[in-house]
Amino acid sequence: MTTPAPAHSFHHSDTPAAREWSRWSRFLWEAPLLLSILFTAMVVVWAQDNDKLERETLRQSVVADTLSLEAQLAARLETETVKLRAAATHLPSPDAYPNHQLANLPEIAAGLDRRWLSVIWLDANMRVVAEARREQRPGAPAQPQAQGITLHLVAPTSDELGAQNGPSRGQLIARYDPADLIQSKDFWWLAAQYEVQLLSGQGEVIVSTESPGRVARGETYETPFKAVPDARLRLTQRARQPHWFTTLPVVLMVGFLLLITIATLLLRRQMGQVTRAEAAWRTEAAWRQSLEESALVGLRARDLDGHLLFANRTFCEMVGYSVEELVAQGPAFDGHPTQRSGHETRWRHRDGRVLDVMVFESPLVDGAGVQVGWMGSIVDVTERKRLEELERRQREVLGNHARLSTLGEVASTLAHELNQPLTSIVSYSAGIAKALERQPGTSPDLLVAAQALSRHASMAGGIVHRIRARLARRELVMEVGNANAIVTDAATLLARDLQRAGVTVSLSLAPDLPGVRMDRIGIEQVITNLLRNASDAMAQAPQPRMLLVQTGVGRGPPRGNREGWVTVSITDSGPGLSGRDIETLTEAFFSTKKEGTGLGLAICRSILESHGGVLHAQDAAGGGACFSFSLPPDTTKNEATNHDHPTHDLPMR
Amino acid sequence: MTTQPTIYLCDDDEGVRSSIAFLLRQHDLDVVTHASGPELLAAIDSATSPLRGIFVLDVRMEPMSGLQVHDALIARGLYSRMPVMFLSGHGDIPMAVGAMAKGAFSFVEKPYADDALVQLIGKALELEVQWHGRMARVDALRQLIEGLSRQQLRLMPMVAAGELNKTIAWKMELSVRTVEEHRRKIFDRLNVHSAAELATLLAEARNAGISISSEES
Repeated sequence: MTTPAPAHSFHHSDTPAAREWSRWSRFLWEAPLLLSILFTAMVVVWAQDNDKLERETLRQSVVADTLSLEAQLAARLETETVKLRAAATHLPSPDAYPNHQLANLPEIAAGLDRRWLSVIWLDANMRVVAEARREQRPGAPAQPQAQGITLHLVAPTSDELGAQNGPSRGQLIARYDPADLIQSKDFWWLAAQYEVQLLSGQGEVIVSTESPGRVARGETYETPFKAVPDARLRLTQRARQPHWFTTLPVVLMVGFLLLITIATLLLRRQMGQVTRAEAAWRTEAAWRQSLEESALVGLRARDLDGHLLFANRTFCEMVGYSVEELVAQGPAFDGHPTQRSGHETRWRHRDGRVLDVMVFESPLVDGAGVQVGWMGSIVDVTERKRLEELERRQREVLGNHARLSTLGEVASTLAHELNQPLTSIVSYSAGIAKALERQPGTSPDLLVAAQALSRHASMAGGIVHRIRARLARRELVMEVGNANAIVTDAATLLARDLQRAGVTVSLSLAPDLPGVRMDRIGIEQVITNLLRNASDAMAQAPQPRMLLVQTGVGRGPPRGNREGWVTVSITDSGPGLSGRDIETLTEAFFSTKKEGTGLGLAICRSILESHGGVLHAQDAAGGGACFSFSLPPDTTKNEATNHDHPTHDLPMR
Repeated sequence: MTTQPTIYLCDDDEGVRSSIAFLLRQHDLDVVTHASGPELLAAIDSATSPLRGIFVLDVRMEPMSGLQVHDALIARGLYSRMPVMFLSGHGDIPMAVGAMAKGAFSFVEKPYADDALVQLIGKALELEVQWHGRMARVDALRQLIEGLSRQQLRLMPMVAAGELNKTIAWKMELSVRTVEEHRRKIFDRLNVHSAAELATLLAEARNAGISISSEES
């Protein structure tokens, strides 16, 4: 669900505590990574340390090995020297074939077989007496010659041979290849591990166990080779100690760190999605909540058994119970839920009033798509029904009005048709009566008859006149006027009649009555009609016959709540309404009077309704009837208030 | 003017017309009937001497309605001399209002009570007599004023305004004696005795529409 911008306001991360928590949780999210880094760092330090230690050990072992080798080599050379000495003591006389003799000397032969490359016998004058070479030995190993550099052992010869030649003695010199010495099989373990080098005093490599392609780069140590003057022995470790950072643990750690980082990042991304989803959900929930709360439609969810699960505020207000009450043991407002396209029913509000509601049910489905209940939306149609009822009544009234109007037309036509002949009759009869009156000797009977004729014709004319006055459709001339003035006029007009009927009229007029937009003649007709009705109603009542006319400003009845309606009420001391309500009273052709047309109040009502006003009737506190009507206040204040319709007192009545 | 005021009755309904005429004649009233507006107007136009009396017009008539006839009468300047009454079978308020606004005397709705019409006609006749008297007076006044010389006409408003002879003489460049002579002649002719009476008379004349101007020949 995409959420519009205002959704931010639903977010709950605005409070300081929540912010604190959010920071804390972010730190928690960083923690694994940080701990991993720390751990890795420690491992690295440890590895470094370990490496140093190892190197030290290695170095020590190199030193030890070097010294040991040096000692062994020295020992070996010593042994050879001893053997050479021994040979020197047994030298034959240097007669014939000294070379052959020398070579056949057992010690010499053994030496040549062993290590010696050649043995040279020098006399005291440094002349070569004899020389024996390895090559001369049968079955000598075809050993390559040493690469030029050879070392030698010297042993002095025995005295008896050289004594005759002076004090100086001869020498037996055995040449040997130092490489042979070093490369001896006896040191294989060393050769495998180290490169052994013999260095001259100048640092030149005399001999080396170095093999092509294998360059030793490892730990090295030098020590003076005491067996050979001015030489040094150097051991270099073949396998180079790997750098600490190339050790497996470190590599593993780095890999581990990498994985942890990736994992954390992935987790964070996932969490971000979850957080966003949660925020979206929260927003949506808030939206839903506000939607439900603000909906004008009552919402309620029920499970499959009809138990209430949820109800929104509108629903609660509709029925007057809280959600808790409804859920706990809510009254069943209607039967088992079923899907219908909407049905109308009546519910009872907590306060007892009856509601007309429209219920629409639809299946309530959970996340897995299984129906778990029913969701109902309920519309309160009470008001609508009331309006419909009102409208129906209005229509009735209009129908009534239409009937009256038709009747009015008939009466009007009738009156028009009757007018002319009646006028003629009235005039003729009046003329005859006058003529008879003037003629002397006229029979009085004749005169009386003529006068009666004239009178009856006049009466007929009066009846036609009255019917038309009541029913004739007349256009309303709306102008702003004061109800007080009309009441006064009407009361004045009827003053004589009322006086004759023994009725005492008292006016109680509110000062400062606001102007009302009305048809003056129509309203006057209403007031006159009500006054006459009141007077007629009191005809049989005992004295005193009181008639109270009041004007005032108030709320517009019935059920009105708009201020400023002008109300005129006429209260009599007659027998009252006897339970009849305004609807009955204003029904056309309903009359309590013997000669009444039953139209007066109906016409009054229609006149008032055409003004937007209402007619009202109730029993007065003192026992009589109180008829009142209210007119809406003038809303067109800005218009010219008084139209120039002169209101002459026309001889209509 | 000794002629008896006449009731000019105009109604297109023969029955109503003759019945009313019969009734009125029983009351010793002179009645002239006409069946339509044009007929009535033609009769008026062909009359040789000034008419006396009242008009009783039916509202609904063909081809001219009573109100149209009334308008025609107003156009002939008869409205201030002869009261007009209407008879109506319908009592339309706007009609009545319009007619009354134009100066109709009264409005009688048919059918009326036997004596209502006669009584109203009586009143209308009384009014006619009043009007006639006033009109006769105005006519006399007009004749008197028209008889004055141009100089007297110029002088008269000043006299009526109460100015002294001396002032008037100075304004008019006349001798005081001449002014005195004119004043005496005006007073004699108009039969007044003071400047105040003269002022009243002049006001009356102005109200009646008589122009008092020296420019008028």
